[in-house]
Amino acid sequence: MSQAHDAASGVTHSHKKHYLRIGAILTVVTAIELALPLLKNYPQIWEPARPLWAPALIILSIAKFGAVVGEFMHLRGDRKIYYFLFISPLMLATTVFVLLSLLSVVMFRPFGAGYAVTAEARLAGYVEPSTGPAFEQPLDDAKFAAAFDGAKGKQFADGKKVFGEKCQACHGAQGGGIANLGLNLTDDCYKYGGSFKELYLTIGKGQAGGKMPAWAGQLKGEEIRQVMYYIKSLKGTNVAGGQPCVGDKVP
Amino acid sequence: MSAELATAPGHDAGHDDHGHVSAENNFLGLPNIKLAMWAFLGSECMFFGSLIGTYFFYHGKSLGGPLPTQVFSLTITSISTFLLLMSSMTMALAVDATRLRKLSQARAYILATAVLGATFVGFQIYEFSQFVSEGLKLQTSLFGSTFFVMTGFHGAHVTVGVIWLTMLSMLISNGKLNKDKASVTVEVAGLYWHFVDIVWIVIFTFVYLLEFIK
Amino acid sequence: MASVADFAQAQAPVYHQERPAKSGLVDWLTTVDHKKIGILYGTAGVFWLLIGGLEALLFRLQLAKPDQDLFIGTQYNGLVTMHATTMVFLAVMPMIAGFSNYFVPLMIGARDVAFPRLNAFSWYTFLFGSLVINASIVFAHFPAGGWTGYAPLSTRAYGNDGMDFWWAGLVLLAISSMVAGVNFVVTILNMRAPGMTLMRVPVLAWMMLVIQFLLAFSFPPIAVGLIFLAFDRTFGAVFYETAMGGDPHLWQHLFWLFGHPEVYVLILPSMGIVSEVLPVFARRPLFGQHAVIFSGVFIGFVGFGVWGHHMFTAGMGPIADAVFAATTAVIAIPTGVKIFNWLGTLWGGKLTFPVAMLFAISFIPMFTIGGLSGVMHANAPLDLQQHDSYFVVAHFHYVLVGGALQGLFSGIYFYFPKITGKMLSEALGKAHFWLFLIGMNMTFWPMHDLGNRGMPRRIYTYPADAGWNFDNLLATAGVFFMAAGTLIMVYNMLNSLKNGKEAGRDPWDANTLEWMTTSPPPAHNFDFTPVVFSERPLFDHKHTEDLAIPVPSEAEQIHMPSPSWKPLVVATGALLIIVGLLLFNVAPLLWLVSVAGALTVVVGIYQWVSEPV
Repeated sequence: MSQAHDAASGVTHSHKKHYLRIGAILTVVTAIELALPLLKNYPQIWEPARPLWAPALIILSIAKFGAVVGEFMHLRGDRKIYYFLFISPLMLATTVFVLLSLLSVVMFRPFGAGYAVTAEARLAGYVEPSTGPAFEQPLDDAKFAAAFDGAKGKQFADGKKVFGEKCQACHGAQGGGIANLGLNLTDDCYKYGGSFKELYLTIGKGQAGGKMPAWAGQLKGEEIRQVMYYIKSLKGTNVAGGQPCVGDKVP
Repeated sequence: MSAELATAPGHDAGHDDHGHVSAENNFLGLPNIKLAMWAFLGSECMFFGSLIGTYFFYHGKSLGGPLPTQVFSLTITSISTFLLLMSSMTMALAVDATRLRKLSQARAYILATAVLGATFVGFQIYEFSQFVSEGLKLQTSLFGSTFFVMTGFHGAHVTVGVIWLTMLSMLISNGKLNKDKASVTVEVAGLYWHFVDIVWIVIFTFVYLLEFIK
Repeated sequence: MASVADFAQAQAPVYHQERPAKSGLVDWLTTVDHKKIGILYGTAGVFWLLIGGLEALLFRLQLAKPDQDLFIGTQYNGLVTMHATTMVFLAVMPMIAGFSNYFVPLMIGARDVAFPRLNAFSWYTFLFGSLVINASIVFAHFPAGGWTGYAPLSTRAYGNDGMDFWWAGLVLLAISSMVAGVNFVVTILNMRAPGMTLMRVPVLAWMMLVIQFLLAFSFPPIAVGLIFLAFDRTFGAVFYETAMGGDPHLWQHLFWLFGHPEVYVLILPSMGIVSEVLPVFARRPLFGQHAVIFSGVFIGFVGFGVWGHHMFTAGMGPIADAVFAATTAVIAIPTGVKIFNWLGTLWGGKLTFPVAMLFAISFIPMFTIGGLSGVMHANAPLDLQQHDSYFVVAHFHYVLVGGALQGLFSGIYFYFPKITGKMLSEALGKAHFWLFLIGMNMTFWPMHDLGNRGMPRRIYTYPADAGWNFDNLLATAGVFFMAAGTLIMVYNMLNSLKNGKEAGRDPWDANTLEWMTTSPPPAHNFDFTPVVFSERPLFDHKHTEDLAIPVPSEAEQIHMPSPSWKPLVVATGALLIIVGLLLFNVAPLLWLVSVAGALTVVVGIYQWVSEPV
């Protein structure tokens, strides 16, 4: 029964012990929560159960939440109308919370569908679009360069295919550029930077206010990489009838 | 049906601002103020749901540092979290004492709760100033804006609670809150206080701890 | 058979206050009487209705002919923004609050609301909020970011100083509505007369209960959105700063999470009023009363899950679009149920047609037109075509003018005799009704056509060869009809206060408790506490011999809450906090005004809880 009813019916025993016990339990649970991140130092425990830690924390916090609401606020055993007044908006608020968190993943996609990224990678400014965890890494010029140098013909053939579908309408079949549409990709000049990272971001994010579209929404990370390698391979081929050089010369 | 049944002249549903008119005359037999507090807390759920939801809407979307893991100090935060949890316990004890009509004991528990709450706010101010010195301001990034406004509004709620509890202890001291009124009045203040605590339970786990588990 | 006049034989009770009410202005400033606060809300609502109408008239003049330059650019945007803000927040909502304040306690047989002083606080916060929004015209210019205030259009980057007043005023209105929502939820749940189970609560009071939940639970998200906006504009936070990664969707979600329940806040009370008026003048009980009530409750619940249909063009993705399309289609069902219930009530009734009934009857088809064009928007692909066109303008004006406003007009003609004790003139009322109905359709029907032929919302002019000339001229002409009708109503009310026929307790031979007491009711509402045996308590009293003459054996002592200055003091403190934040933009040191406001609030609350009630 609720305390109000206890008082009304003249029951006057103290709940002190009960509250102290709840307080102790809450302390212990909080200590466990705090200890969890420390387990990282013990990879043999941490790694195997890795997917479980976050849900474990959430369950512990729900338990604390329930203990405070049910016991300290003694909603447990109180009149049902209080349940209704509190729990229904709580459910609504939880839904809002979950929706807002989810919508940010679904809706917010400067790099297109399936955008998932670590904060570190984003801060570094270089991120590949991909659904796979393998690509949630900072873009690394040295790695790109190594891959480019070691690339076989097939890689460029894949890139050429993508180029034919997406790029040649503006940049020309040979990559020589078209007046007022696309820049020459076969000279040594890069308006938006010629490093792998810069090329990658130009293709992914777009440039010139969307005149160069952001392809990340339509191309997978792998495809952007392929077409980037292909474009890089065009450098210095200087096809006939190409557009004049724009931007800095890159050695 | 008789005429007496139809009139019931003794009935006078209690209108009041702090719930001390006897609740038995109310339709549900419950004190107005307690119903109001639960409904208000429902409204507050939506308020904090939107604030915390926004934090996660923008989580990891900041265009510049510092990152949460770079500024959060688990030691500081866990001490203040512990203080707030304990204040919830002392608040429950205060409500218990009021129910047993031991007002001076209740007053001591209420003051203890207020002191613990004020210490929590103090820790928060210290934490904020640390963050600012480490380069995270309200204007720095999405993380800065969402974090400071979310935890700031929680801190404001704690501050309101501290003022409320101080007022309660003043009212008990100068005898304006007698033993009949006190039970519901302190209980309702307790509901608010516990709610502020559970909001912090959510923020502590989702905003702080989960950051360190990845 | 006993008549209502028999109640007059009951001995008048004595009521008692700690501090007796003063008279005159002090009485109105310190009153905690729900009826006086209701009158204040209602008067403010009608006043702002006239202002909002004037704003509409001005920009309709601009649109009457192509290529005009009466009000262009920011001026035009300001008028449009203020027209919508005024009508939604300052006209219709306070009129609803007026009805809710005045009649909910009477309908459920209570002496007052649960927290009378908190009620006065709500009123003052509302008043200050309305004044702050409109102060923009004095200190800057009207806010011009649209009533939806879409960020980043509402941020500092677009200048738009009026938006500062907009968020400040809306924050005060949000506080007012949340507090009132909690207050009335408790009132309706806990202050009912003995025997008035939930299923015996009158439909209007039920709808008020539903909207109080909506107010209490839907205002926090927009309060949060407004706080973000305030921090962006005042302290340079980056919530809506796209250059810092901010997402324009955030505001839209928070706004419409509030905004769509708000639509039901506006329409449900009118549905309640119509459900009270139709049975009285059809001389039949409401057909399927429980269905009407449960439909309202269902609308209230689902109303929280449909906000995304305002954002189909925002790019939420196909899954979210599909979910919101489905929920939107679902919410049409309870609305349809209600319409059939009203038709069922009229069917076979002995209809009479006073003005209240005329408005209630015309509510049904006008609202249905708005509802049908609304459910069309549940279809996401169709919505993509109609979004931001005049078709949408036509839709929500049929719902809000043909629906909400006509319902409230019906309520004014129905309840004016109870509030003042005087009847309104039927002849003037009919002139109002016909002018308004014709004007409304002249203005809003052509907008369907304009929208289908591509005229976008919120443009301040259009070329002569666009093919929109005739429709626009017609729409502007209609506004004058509506304005004339509304002015006639105001004249009618003022005139009746002096020259109106005495109304008596129960001029319409109605069924619910508010007609049991005198017109206007005494401060303590009822000389004796009514006991309720059915959903038509007054009908029972009039037609059941045993229940007819409730004469208390001796005069009772009724305790009534005392008038208080404290609500005004605390509301002033809240106003100062907000004003301090506004002044921060002028000179940072002026934030001390906020500190003074906070101190006022703390001291005011301490005195509030200390004073005897």
